[in-house]
Amino acid sequence: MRPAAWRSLALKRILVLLLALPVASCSPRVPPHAMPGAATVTILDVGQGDAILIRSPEGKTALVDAGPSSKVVSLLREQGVGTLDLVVVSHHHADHYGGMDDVIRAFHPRVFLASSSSHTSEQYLRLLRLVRDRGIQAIGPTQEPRTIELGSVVLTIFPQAPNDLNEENNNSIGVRVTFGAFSVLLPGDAQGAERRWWEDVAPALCADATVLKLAHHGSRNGTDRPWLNLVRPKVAVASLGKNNDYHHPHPQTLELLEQDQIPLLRTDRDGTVTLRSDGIHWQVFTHPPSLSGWPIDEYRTPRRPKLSRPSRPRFPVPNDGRVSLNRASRTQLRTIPGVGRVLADRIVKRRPFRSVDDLVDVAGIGAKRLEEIRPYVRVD
Amino acid sequence: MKTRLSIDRFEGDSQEIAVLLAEDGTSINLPRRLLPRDARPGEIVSLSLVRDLKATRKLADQTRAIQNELKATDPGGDLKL
Repeated sequence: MRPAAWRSLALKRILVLLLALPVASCSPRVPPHAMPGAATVTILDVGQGDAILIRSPEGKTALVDAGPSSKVVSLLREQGVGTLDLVVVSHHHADHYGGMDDVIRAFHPRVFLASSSSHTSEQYLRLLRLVRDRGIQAIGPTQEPRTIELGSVVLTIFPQAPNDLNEENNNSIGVRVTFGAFSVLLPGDAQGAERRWWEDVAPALCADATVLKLAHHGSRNGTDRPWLNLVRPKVAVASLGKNNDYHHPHPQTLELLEQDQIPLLRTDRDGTVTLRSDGIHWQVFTHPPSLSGWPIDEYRTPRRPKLSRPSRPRFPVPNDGRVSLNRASRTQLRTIPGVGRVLADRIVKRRPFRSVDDLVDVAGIGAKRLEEIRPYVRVD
Repeated sequence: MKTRLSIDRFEGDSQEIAVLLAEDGTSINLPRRLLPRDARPGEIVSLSLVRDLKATRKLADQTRAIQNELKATDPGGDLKL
């Protein structure tokens, strides 16, 4: 690679890491979704399965898949969910809908989205009966992309691929979650055949997502080179159970991500993963804190990536989630809600801070804004 | 086809999981409640799985019927929630 191109690539990667920071960990003083004006996408740690909670700044909520069991109900309650506007069954495998009947009973969703694939089970039939008997509005994917406005968050439902009678994974409903410039791609468990179809029919829906939820729990049939070349995610997330019987994620998938230096968050290792965005910036929160064992310092000063050392971890290690008023860069300060370029400059000029309360000395930060900012900053 | 399995042990907080071993050593976990009531570790059980096409057809028909019922209520187009 030419030096100029390499420098450009390196700068891009460093920028990605900076934007991804701070990566919060356990128990932020307020939950990630509480930030005014922010949307969150939370990949719940349901074990071996998928359950993804989407929240709009207006408080609208959607759940894509419900994991393998009723455990998802308590996880949603822990997230402060009272009701759901939309629930989605990405495809008819029990590790994606196993907890959905309990979710429906507990959270009374307004709309139920599922495909009309013929794959079924006694449990799935019971779920459909529950939807009907509760009078929930049922909808399905169509031949054209279909959008669902969840407040200011837009869910675009992929056009449905031809029904695959032999492999239900290829009947997955694909969803692109968009909030401003931030996007998350949820491909269900789509395997190669369905992804090729999407790439052909709806490439724009797949391309350049900020975050990719890996299809099929990081299996090797859920991710391949053409797919990654199109999606080009900044971060990937795999939803899977610890020590699962299927040996997910597959080393081949990890290798592909490694080649592109895409950090991978894993629910089996990092617990529930929340992505939060104001439409421009985005942050990652994990709960409980990551147990990766990678040294935090490696990420405080991002260095030029060494392509010759593929085993070097590039996963952004969680800190306590708050930005240091005395040590953060201007870019990091701008990840604080309500802090733009001007306020970041003023904060830097005001240093050192002895306490967070000193922020009121900064022109433009009054008592009200201080309280909005307080959960996201620290003094050390 | 019948498969002979050895009951190796019971696992779980309430010993609710039966660990069965096939002749080739493959380990299979089954809920203990599916075993005969008196079955004990060390005993052999035989497992027989057969396709139930009639039940399959019935389930498929029931599913298709309710899917059609639900589909009929879909207003179509984009949605605003």
